[in-house]
Amino acid sequence: MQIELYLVLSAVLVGIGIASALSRGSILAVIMGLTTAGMGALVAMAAFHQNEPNSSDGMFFALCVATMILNTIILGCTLTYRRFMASGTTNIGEKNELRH
Amino acid sequence: MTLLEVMTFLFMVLCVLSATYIAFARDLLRSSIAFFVELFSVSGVLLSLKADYLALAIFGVALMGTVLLLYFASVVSSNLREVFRQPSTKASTRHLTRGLGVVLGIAVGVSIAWAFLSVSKLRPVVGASQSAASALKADVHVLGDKMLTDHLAVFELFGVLVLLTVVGTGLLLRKPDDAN
Repeated sequence: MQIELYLVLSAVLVGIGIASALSRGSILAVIMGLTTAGMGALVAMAAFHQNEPNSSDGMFFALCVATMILNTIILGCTLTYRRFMASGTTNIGEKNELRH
Repeated sequence: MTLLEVMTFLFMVLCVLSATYIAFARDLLRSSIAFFVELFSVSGVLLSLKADYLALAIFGVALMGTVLLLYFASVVSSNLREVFRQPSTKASTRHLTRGLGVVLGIAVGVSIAWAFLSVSKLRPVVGASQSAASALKADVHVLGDKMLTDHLAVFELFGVLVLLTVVGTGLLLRKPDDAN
């Protein structure tokens, strides 16, 4: 199987993730979209790693990215929960304190 | 076409379908389950790339992230019934935002695919040469060795980052009465 197929999958995942993050109203859906984009980046990293199988630096970076994605999910869900308990909504459109 | 390639292709299709469902579904609970399916499929794709440790890490992220998202989605849904509720913004603004987001996402995806495909000297991945496969087999040991030698500082920093995340989550979830 050619590496181009993995790269196209990566690009599709990043595109869908960005579209999902920009078009959804709920913070939880935005978190899922950002994670989808991060997964696309990870697939691209793993695919490019096959061209340099003797170098593990890129895979270590990919593991760091996976850690950051997990941290994003945890902190995003926590902040969503806190925000929901304070204002009763998770809709991004209603969070307008910084506009004024 | 071998069995491995068929499985890889199925994982790819499943991954794209579940990601598309997440992007367009209104039900947060079903989106969370689709999120798990997507990450599980990504793990399968990574396994076909012989990135075993990365696939295992993503599977862990899938389990933990899905549990978290399911919990918070159930809390949000049970209190506000946001599953079947549209945002309170005007319909025209909502459709414009959603349309612009989809167009921008497609544009970014096409741009990245074009950039990737224009990279020269790419070679097949699945079914690579035996020497490359043997080199990948020892990659886990090499990665673990690098974590504790060359990249020790980064490894420790990320450990501290995860610890801070756990502590910060506990502090954020604390009730105001607990401060006393």
